[in-house]
Amino acid sequence: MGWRASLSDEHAVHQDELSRQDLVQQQQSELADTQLVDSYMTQFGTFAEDSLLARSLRQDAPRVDHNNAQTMLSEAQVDLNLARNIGRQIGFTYPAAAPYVNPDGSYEPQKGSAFDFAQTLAFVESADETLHGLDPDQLRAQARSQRLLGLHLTGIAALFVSALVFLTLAAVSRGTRARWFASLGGLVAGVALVLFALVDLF
Amino acid sequence: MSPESPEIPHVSELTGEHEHHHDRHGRLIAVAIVLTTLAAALVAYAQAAALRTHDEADARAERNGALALSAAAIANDESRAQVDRFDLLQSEERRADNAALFEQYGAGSAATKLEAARWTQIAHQTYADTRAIAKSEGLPYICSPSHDAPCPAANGFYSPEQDPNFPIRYQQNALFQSYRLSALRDAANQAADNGEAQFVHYAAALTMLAVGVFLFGYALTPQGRARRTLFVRAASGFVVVACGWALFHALEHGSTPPDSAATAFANGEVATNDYQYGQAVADYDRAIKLSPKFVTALFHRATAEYVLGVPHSTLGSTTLPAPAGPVTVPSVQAIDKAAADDARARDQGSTSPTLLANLGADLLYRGLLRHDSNDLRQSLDVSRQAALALAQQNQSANDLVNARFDIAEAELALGDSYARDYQLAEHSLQATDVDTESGVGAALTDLDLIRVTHPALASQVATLDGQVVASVQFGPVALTPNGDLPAKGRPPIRFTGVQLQPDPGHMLYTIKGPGSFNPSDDVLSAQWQYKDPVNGEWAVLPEISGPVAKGGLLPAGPGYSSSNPSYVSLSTPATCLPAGQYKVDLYVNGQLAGSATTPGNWPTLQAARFRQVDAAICAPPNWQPLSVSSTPGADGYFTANASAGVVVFTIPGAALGSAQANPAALAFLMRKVVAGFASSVLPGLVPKGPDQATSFFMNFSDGRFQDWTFNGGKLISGVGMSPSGEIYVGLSYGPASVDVADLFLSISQL
Repeated sequence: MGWRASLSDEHAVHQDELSRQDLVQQQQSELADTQLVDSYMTQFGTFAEDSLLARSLRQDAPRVDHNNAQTMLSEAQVDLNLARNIGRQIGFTYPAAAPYVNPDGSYEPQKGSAFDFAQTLAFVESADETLHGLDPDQLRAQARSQRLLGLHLTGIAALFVSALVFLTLAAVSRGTRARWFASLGGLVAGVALVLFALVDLF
Repeated sequence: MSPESPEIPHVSELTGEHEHHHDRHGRLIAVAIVLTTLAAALVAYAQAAALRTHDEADARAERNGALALSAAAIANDESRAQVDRFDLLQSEERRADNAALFEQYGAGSAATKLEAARWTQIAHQTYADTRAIAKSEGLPYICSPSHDAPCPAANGFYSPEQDPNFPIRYQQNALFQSYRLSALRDAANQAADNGEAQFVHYAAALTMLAVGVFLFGYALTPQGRARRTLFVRAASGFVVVACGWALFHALEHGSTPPDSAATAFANGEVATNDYQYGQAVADYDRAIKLSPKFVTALFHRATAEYVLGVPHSTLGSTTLPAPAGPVTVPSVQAIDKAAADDARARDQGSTSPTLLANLGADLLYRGLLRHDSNDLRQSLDVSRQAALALAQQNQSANDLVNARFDIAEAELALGDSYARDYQLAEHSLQATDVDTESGVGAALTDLDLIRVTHPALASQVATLDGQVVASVQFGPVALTPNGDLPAKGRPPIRFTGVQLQPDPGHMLYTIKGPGSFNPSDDVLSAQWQYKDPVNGEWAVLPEISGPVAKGGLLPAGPGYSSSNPSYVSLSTPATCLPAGQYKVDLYVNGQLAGSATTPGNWPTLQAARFRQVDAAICAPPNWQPLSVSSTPGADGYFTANASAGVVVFTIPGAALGSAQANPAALAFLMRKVVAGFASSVLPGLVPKGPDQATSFFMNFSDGRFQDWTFNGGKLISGVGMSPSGEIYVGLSYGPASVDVADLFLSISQL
């Protein structure tokens, strides 16, 4: 019984170690994913600013003199190209989480929502293979159950010793009393056996 | 005996017929053996349960520790991203303002008008997107109540207008979960310790039970027969003690702190890092009440109690220790509380050398203030332990310097030999990772406390003052036989006519008679000090003290003046100086060359940080910020009826075109801005004289200022250009009852 309890404890220690390793890996991956999404968010800021600037410059160009207009249109084109490049990175990688993009590749705030952090993070994490198969909580739960098993087995060992007490009392008693003690000892031993079977099998 | 019973030999079979009368004893001993075995089995069960508690708590602690680290990293990252969004919004708003100002003060055109409108529109969209992003991230967004609409109070709380140390308040709020997890880790470690202690006690009980079983068994053998009673009694004793021991520890097991203790601790951490020390103490009180052995909470409460004992400026969310320097000695009541908590944390098992160093300092100050040699002796012991431990650690150079100075100071106050420990402490100041001036400032402040509390040591204190300052300039030094400090080949220099002109934001000294001082050959160190109104010592202001660097000393007639360093600019968070007594000690080549004291009389002021301008002023706490959106490129603070105020405008240097570097053009722009501002607010405004050069307007080298009068008051304006090419125009105005000059001088760059 003690041997079985010891095995359970040893198994629990191993499961804990595995859980710890999984947890560290999971935390590292989640942190890296969050940092990635934060960098997308920063890029979105530049993307939105460049997009709006490009559109505004194009709209304002006709209201100024020819030279200024040419300069503004030229700046608008540069801003649009920048916006398009950034938009490709954040929009095409995670389309469902991206804001609405015009056919020219610029941000269109009127037709959609802004950058969705939670949804983008969900996409990034689901695409992160290092996170797959990591389940530190399950391993930790297994370690807990192994420890509980070890404790139960130790308790059952104590029950066997109790049975031994009754049988000893039977040995040193006489007549009816001895039979009672012996029966009780047998009963306790039987219960311990049944519990052992239950604990060990289930 | 019934036939189905186990076969146990009769005592008579072992000992012979003549021992038959002992058969009854033998049976009782056999029963005792089995009962003892049962007790051992039960103790073993309890031991297994304790081991399980320990292992699970250990695993929980490790998990919470890992989660706390990760939560901190993620929170820092996410909060940084939100602060970046706010910075983006600010930069867009500034570009809109710059365009509007260019239109107003430069060569405006249709293009500049459109540019202002363009950036305003982009800023509005950025603000709308920021709110949506923050919502999807589950974080609050940051907004400025005076500029962004709508800006709920809960969000404005994180803005630079309301957070004197922006963006610390926002970041600390994000770190709440990490602090909570750290506290849960500590609680789990405590539970693991309890489990381990129980395990050990049960092991002791098991050992005693094993001895008991052996003695019972030996009593049944022919060899043990002669002294059976003795063996049985000894065995019974072991069994009774073992059972009592096990039972006591089974009932006595330590309780696991509730999760609410971790929540209270996390609130305390956030409050501490947001400078809300009163609130922090209340939170730590709750945490410690729920978890009396919470060592970290005790340690941190001690720190908060200590800082609370230092006079604070203003109240509410902007309250700050005044002065901001880390070297002021708190009230003895605060030291009592801090020392009690530090000692309790140590007794509960903390091995932190920083805690020991803090406890050493607490005991030193208390010993000095109460003339208690027992405290001083304890301080000496504790500081020595701290110094030993700190010397083994990396990144604890500042704590090591303080601990070593504490040792030397305790020796000085006790009349012990102190020279060697002072030299050791001064040697520690040479480490590259030491905040040198904080170390020097703390040492000088402590020396002055010794002078105040132990006047008989005044001459030693005066010598050591110079030695500490010199140690930074020349390395550790020993005194010459006649008690002088080496002057590196230069004769001792004495200044005459040293004068001070403090204002709430700056400290200015002038030297009328510099003697043979030569800035090229001599090393000048200025130690600014504020007289602690609680304990009476001169407390050094390390932010503005230290060796005077190139440019820090300006020619003024036959003498010199300081470049008027801004305390507001150099303190973190930006803090204004309180009213009180001020002093400057000027050391040349490690020797005191001159000194001056003067009172600083002004009302309680707080550093008010501008939102649109990287600057702050010292304003009365009840002044209101300007609604920035109404005046592009301007920020300011005013009384409720606008009868007095301070305003700063930032204008892109390009607005002046090629005339940027022309003082006359700067002065012209200043007058244009003043006239534009005053036209509707200050009737009868006229200049009192021509504009003049000054180096005291925001410490600009090309600064100019001008005095004005208006119906019922006066105005001072200034102008200067920052290294980044922005022109700053500042003005302060008010009736005669308001110190307009102090307000003007307090305008400081951040």
